[in-house]
Amino acid sequence: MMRKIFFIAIAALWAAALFPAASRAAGTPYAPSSGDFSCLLPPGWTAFEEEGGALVHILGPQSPLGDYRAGIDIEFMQDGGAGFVPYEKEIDYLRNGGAGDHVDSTLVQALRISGTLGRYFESNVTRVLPDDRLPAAETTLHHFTAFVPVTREQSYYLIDLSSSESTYLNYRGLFMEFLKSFQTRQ
Amino acid sequence: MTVLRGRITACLLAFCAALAPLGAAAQALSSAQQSLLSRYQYQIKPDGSIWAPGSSAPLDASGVEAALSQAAGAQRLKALLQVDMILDQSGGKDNLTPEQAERIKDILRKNWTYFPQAARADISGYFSPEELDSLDAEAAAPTANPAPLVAAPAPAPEDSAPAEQAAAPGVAAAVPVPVLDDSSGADSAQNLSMSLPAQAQAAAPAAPAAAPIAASPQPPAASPAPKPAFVPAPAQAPQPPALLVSAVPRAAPVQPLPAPKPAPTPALPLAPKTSTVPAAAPAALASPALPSSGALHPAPAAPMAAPVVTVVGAPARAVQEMRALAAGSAGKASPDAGSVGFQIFPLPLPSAPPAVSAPDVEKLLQNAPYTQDVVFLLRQIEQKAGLGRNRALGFLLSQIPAIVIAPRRCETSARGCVETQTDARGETLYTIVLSPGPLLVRRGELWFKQDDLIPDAPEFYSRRRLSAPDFKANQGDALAENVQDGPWGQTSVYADGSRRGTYSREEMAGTLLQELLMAAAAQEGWDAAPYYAQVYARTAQEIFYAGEAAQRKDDDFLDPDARLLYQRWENDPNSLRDELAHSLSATRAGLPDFLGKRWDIAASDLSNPTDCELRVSAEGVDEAKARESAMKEDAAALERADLVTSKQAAAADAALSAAAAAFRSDPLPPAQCLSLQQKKEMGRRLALSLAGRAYAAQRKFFGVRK
Repeated sequence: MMRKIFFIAIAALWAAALFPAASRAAGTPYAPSSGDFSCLLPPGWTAFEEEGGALVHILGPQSPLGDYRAGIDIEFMQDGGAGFVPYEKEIDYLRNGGAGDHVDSTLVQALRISGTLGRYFESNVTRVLPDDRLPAAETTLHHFTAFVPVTREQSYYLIDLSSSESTYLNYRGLFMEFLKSFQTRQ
Repeated sequence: MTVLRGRITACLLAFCAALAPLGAAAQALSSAQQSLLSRYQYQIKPDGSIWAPGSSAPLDASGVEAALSQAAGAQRLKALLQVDMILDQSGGKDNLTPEQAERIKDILRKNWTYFPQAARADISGYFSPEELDSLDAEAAAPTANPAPLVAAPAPAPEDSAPAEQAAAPGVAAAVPVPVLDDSSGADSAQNLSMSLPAQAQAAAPAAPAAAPIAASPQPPAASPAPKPAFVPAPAQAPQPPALLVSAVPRAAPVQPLPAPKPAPTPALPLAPKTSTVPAAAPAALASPALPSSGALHPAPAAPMAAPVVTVVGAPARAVQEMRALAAGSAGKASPDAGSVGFQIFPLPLPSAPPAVSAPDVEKLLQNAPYTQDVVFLLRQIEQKAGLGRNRALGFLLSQIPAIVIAPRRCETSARGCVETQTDARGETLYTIVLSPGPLLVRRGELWFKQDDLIPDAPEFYSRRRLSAPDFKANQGDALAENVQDGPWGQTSVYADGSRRGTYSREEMAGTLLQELLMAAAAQEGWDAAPYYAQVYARTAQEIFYAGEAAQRKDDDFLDPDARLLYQRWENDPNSLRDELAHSLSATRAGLPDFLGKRWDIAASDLSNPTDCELRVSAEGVDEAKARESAMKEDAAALERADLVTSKQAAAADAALSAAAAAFRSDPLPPAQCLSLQQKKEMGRRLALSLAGRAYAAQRKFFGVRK
């Protein structure tokens, strides 16, 4: 038994040495001016907010082609507010797109975010990039999307990390870490 | 009023008559004539030759004469339209307020040279006899640059009667207006240019090579020939930006600040053609509060209350006072600190633009030299636009920008762009260019083919030291093999596989709305924060499209990418901001400071004004580097699309690097530097405010719909 525990401990230490980033919470604490949520910014990423914190953009590295900067966009969708879309409908649109859109997406998974049962999926959207600048070409953007419901309301946070498809694998772990750090004001 | 309208009609006819065939020649003109031609996009080469926009040969003597006559006629027409609008607002000449009368006099003064004697008699009632004498004397004065004049065989009679103008040769060729027809394909679309020089050029037959031209005596002031002498700007000192720097007289007379020095341009063509900040801020600005929703950061202490320091006189004194301000003693700055000094004012924001009535717009559309296609687009905006309507149309009425639908003009934009030019008198002239359709090149194999949108403007390639790929779809005289409906509208397919799509008129109207707003941003200075300016303009565009889509019950009038963006915006309006944030912050956008944060004048910035010039200079270098990086990425993108070789791309890279290394930004004197910085700060706050208005308008729009 002691031998088994010893090997497990060695394996855990070995794994921690191999994946140091995963074993420590990295990033800078951030909260918008409204104070409605808090999170840890990934190292080197910068945030700016709009409309009193209802919209927050956290910008990271740009794509190798220099036409798109990876970033996390956080939007608070207020139940009953103008333009509010129930999250089931929003998920449906983001996973399937509109007529003529080229959208591929994964299944929706349940995920515990900020102490509530959130939703998570990934999708690819074909766009012409860069936006309004020539030369431009069809490019696939990858989206990591999470929905964080606010307790006892239909309101929710829409958190989306978008990047070029060629680099999206760099951001899956980062996005998960970010979601772990995301806390809403209950 | 009647006489004035008669004059406008005469000008229109004279303007049409002036669209005479242009040929090729090299001339030496006075600086005033050169300035006039450069206003209308003519290029004056170092060897003295004059080239019409997009032409392949220089103008000959008659061509130069026609161009001068045409430009003078257009200038005269613009002045009369502006006067007419002021008269309409006042209800007639007898009801003019002193401000309106002064505005009319100012317009007429600036354009006095262009009016023939008969027209001067009609408008002389606005001036006193002394002023008239002065104006006539200035108009008759010889030019500062007595260069040999064009040998004018028969100058176009500017003051001849309309009937005579109508009978003049060349009128019939110039009058027909091209019609925008979505079904006409790329070739017809390429002939839609509505710029004055382009029309003249289009009518030009191939001319023989230029011969040396003998100088002729300068015509007298009363001569109908184009005069080399310009009426100089009225005898008024250059004004500093109206709200940002203001001279406060003290015990001694105060010298007004010189106008801000225009931003230095690099030796190589790195400076962008668009978004030139005008030399002077708009004069009529009021002061609403900045909406709290427009906050960019967790607010620095009371941004709206940030003081603006008026600097008059010795920069060193200003520096001391600013330091005192930063140290907390600004509020105690003694008003009698010296014969010259500074005063602190709050920084107000412009008020919402006044409502623009449909009759005002209709009047302009009936008189202004816009073709039927542009008139259609402007009517669409007047009738259907929501957000941004008054601001866009207000800009249209006040500036009367040239609006053209032409391929091969926009350097980096697929749909439209704003071109600006500053003439010798510091006035900024705006030209809005709309592309009739994108140049497409298909690459890939089998099921993996994709369309690349390729720049079609020759300037794009020359500025990047690249040779332009020779696609038939980019040649005005090539015939299409096939015309088919596709995602990019009616698409002409050429033998080499290149294609030219067509934007629908509804999409072009939305593009025109956006470009009018971006031109207004350049004029009012709120392009200092490109992201917020784009948020406002693009939200206005999407709301316009939403109205159109609701009327048509589909969004098929949009091209594929515009449709995708529109649908995402319709589903989640704030997704547009996400897109803009990710795109404008990337290298390809060429913006080192897409939020305009550098212009955020915090106390820390005011504490070291001596560093202002260095900071502005460094920022100029940053901007040049950002443009260089963007251009390098453009070249790399063409290489990836197999449109240029790796060797060409490497050569372009090296040339652009050398140009950026050679770039030097001239430092500004502290006073000018501060006024420029304050103007930028003003523009940034206005952009923030407008983005807040866009957010509110969006909420209101969707609140109604859902």
